[in-house]
Amino acid sequence: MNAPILYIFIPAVTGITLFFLRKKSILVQSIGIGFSFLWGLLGFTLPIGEVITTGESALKIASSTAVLGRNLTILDSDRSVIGIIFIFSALWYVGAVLKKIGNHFIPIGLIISGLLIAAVAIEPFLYAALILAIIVLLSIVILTERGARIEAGILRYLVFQMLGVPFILLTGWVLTVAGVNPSDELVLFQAILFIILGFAFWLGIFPFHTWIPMLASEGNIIASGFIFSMLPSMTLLMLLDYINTYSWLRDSQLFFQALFVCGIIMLITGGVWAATQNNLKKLLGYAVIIETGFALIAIGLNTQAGYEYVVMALIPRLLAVLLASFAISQTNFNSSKEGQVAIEGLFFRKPWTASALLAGLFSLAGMPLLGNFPLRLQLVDQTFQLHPEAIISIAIGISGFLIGCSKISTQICRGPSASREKESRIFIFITISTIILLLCMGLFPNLLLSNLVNILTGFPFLK
Amino acid sequence: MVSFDLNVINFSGGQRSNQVRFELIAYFGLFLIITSSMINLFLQSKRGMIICLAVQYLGVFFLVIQAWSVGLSAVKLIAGWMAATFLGATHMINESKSEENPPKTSGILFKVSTGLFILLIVFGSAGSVRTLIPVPLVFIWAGMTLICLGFLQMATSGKLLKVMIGLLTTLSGFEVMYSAVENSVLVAGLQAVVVIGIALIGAYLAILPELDRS
Repeated sequence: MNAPILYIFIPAVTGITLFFLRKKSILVQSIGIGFSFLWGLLGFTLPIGEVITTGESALKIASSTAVLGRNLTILDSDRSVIGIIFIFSALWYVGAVLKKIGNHFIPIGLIISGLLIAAVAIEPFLYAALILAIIVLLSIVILTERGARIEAGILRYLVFQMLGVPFILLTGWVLTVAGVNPSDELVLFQAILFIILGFAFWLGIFPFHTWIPMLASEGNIIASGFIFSMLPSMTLLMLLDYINTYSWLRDSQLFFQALFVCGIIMLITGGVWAATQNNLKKLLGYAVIIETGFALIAIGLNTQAGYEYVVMALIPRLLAVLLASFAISQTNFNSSKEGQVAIEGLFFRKPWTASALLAGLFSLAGMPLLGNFPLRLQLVDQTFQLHPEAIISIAIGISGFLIGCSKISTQICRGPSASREKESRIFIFITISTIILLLCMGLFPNLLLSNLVNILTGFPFLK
Repeated sequence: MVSFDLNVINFSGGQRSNQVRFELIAYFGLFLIITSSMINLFLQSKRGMIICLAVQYLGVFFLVIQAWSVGLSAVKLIAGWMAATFLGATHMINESKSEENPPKTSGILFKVSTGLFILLIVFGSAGSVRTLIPVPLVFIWAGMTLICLGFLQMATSGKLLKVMIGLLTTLSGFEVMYSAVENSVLVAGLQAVVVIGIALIGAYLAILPELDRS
């Protein structure tokens, strides 16, 4: 048994099987959610590359396997990432079941989970670009609703994600040339340009960010939230892999400055647009842009603390996006004028939904006591020491998003008190658990998040 | 890695007449690419657009065959034609229904003139691009033409079929240039999967509004 078969092929095959059984809702939902939770627990607990003895038998999970002449390698340090992907996927499946879109969401989600791990595990990593392209194509199926019109956001998402693929493939070729002649400045500049452009398309760096709020406001928020949480997180890990692999890239000040500036730009654009938003779904989209901006700033600092921020912020970010998306899905919010009224007085009608929404949004804003706050504080402190001029941009980003959140909070708490509406017990349980987790992460970050730093052992050449 | 004499497409052990023949095939492919992608800019007929897409991929085949083996190049051609088939099968179902207003002459003139302007820029700047990507000029002309006209196609229309064809055009332009520097079988296979996947998604999106909500 080896790790790629366990964590890539088995989930993908399970997903394909469940896709053909998707008419049997209860079977698909129970197997999908149970499988994903189980695989997440396996990811966290089962060691890779070590012999596991149980009684008289011994088992070793090998770390790599060859597929069509290329290696898929999953190290022991990647276990946390695997566990996170599957556990959070399971939570998203629960949300999909609550919104009655689980029949096709769960099978495709399982295939996407397997392919996400494949994208991180494949060597050489230029094939990750093509795997990511396949993930994007599969995700279109869950992002669209049967019988609904095709909106511009889904096409823009497809086009921008596909346009990133050629740049990453060309990067692979240029990096080979640069490795032969690392002193050639033109080749280095070319490689950096291609990498930045490729990731700009994938991560939605300005001006290629328009698909994020459009996709958030159209279609199903559960599917959008799933894509917003999984894709950027894995793309950032791929970026770390690039940096770890090439020494001349790590030594290039231009590259890290470019990443830093991209992060600043994302903060400013996300903050300014979020401040003007009345659309709840688009506000979540801009929150994702701001989160990605902070991650790029952290990588752009090129310090140990910066890289630690990227991996430690994974869980608080995923939890906050999950909570906010679930809450939005429980309202009847849509982009029409009638739909926007749906959140007025929400606190009186659905207090748990309102609490989840506010907790998710304010956690993404980095409010004290919530999950993102201690990590964001540390990052801002480090940024101020190295680039004090960037503080204004960070302030614009955070305050802009807070203004948007405040407008939403006012709407939620405004309006005549109305009779309480029934809320799903599963949703209430998820809300309570997630808020408690976010509070614990905010109050005791070292206790809960410090283990995630082990992910960086898979990138030994990062500072 | 494929190596090139930058001035002449050279094959080790090949005769000069074979080289000339191969160069003619490459330039014929370039002609097909330019013609089909320019016509696709202003065509409104879905059948015509699909035929132009198929001719475009034939042109891509004639170019890629300079760098790859016939079998590997055929993968690109077959994938492209399959993509055209999938798109055509779903989009041409709706062609008989009452359509929007016929295109304005000014719109056609704008697209054609912009396309010609793009061609001027492509042919004029190909030398500079060659310093970045050292491949024969004919590959750069074809690749840049497809990329830029594909962008123009996507930017000037919001219709699903036009956007899909524009995306496929852009990606095929990249594939032409990339084929000159990389001849990995796995990359070719995965690229073919992506092309067919894009076409399948385009077909799925075309029929999505008519599916029952379930």
